[in-house]
Amino acid sequence: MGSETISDYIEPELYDAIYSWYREDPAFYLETARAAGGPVLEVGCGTGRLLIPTLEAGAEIDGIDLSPGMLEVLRRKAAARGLQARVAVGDMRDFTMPRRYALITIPFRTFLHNLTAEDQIATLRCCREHLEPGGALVLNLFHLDFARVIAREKEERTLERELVHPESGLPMKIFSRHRYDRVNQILDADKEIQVLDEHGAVASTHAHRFRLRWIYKAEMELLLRLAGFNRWQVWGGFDRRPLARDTDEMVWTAWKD
Amino acid sequence: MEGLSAGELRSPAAPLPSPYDDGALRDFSLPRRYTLVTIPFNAFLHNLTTEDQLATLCRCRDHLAPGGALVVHVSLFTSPEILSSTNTPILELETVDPGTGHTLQHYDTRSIDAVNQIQHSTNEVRELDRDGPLVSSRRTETAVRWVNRAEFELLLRVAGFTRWELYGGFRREPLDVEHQQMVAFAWKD
Repeated sequence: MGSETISDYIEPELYDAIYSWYREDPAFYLETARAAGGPVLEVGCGTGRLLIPTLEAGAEIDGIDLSPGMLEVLRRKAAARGLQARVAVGDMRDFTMPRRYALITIPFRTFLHNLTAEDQIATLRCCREHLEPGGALVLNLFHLDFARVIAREKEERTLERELVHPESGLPMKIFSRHRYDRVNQILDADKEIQVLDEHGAVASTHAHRFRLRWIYKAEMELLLRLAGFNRWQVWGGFDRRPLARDTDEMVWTAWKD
Repeated sequence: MEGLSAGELRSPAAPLPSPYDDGALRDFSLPRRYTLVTIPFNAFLHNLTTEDQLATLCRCRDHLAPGGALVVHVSLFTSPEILSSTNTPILELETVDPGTGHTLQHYDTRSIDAVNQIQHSTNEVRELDRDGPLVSSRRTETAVRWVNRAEFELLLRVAGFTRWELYGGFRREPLDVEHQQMVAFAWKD
C-alpha cells in the first residue's frame, strides 16, 4: 500500500479468507518469476499469497509490504512450510533494498493504492532504481469498467459474496458499497465482512475500507515516461491477450534499458 | 488576432494557420510570442495520440512569452452513460434555416473506444422541406480523444509546464464531480 491508511484495512488474519476466491494471477506471476533469470522483488507481498508459492517453486524472491501484521502472517505461513521468507516492512513509494532485481512485481492492483500522481511516480521511480539493467517491472491494474460503474452507482450496500472460511469452515458474508469520484478517479470501497457461527448468526463483523485511484492506459504511459522508463508493453489479461476492452485487466511490463 | 497589423494579417509570407488544417495545432510557427494562447471549444481533443497532445502543448508553450498563460477548454468524458448512446443516431439539434424555411436536423452516431479514449462520430445534417420530405443529407466523420484531469496534468508536466490551475467551468468554479467541463490555465514561468 502507498498513501492509503491501513487503519481500516482488513485484519491480516482475515485477508486470505476474503480473497480466497481470487485465483486469476498466481500462474502468471509464478511463470514470470521463473523466467526472470535473477532475483525477484514483490512489492505489496501481503500475506504471501503469491510470494510463498514462488518461493516454493525455487525462485529467489524478496518482498516488502507496508503492513507488519500482513508480513507476520506471511512469515508464519512460510515457516509452516519450512520456508525462510526474506520480507521487510516497506513503503512502495520510498523503499531501500540492498540489492538490485531482474524482476519487480506489484501484483493484485496494489499500485492503485497510490492516490496522487506524486505517489504514483515515486513508486515507479523507486522500482526502476531497484531494477538491474534490462530488468522488468510487472504490475496489473483494472481498467475502469464503465457499465459496472453505472450499475454500482445505483446500489446501496449489497451482498457482494458469500464464502466459507478456508480454515474454520464457517460461513462468511461480504457486504460492500462502492462510490466513484469520476473526476479524481477515486474508487471508495466500504466493505463489511460478517463471520457467521454454525447456526448462521453473525459472530463478528470486520470493516474493510480502502480507496483506489484507477488509471487509464494513456495516463499510465505518461507515468512510466515521467518515472524514466522508455519501453513498455500492456496486455489485456494474464493470458497475454491484447488490451481491447474496458473490462480487461491491464497487465503492464516496463523495462529498464 | 488583436494586435496584429493589417499588413501582418494579409501577409502571404506569414499565414495564420486554420485550427482545422491538419497539423495546425501541433506544428505551428508564428513570428511572435504571446501573453495568452487559448485552445477553446474542445479543439485540443482533435489530438488523437499522446504524441500529438504533447506536440500541441509544447508548441503552445514555445509561443508563450515568459509569464504567459495557455488556456485550454475541454469537455470531460467522465460520464459512463455516454456508452449507452453509442451506435444509434442521436438528434442533437433541430432548427429552421431562416433563408429557405427548411428544417435542419443534426444527427450524431457515436462509437466509443473506451481503452484508447476515442470517440468516433458520424454527423449527418438532414435538410427537410416545409412538408417534410428529405431535400439533402450531408455526412462528415470526426474523431476526438477525450482526456482526463490527471492525464492532462501529466501532459502539462511532460510538456514542460510547472504551474497550472484547473477549473470546472468558465466561472472558475472548482473542478469536482458535478462538472463536465475543464478549463485549464498553465503558465510559462
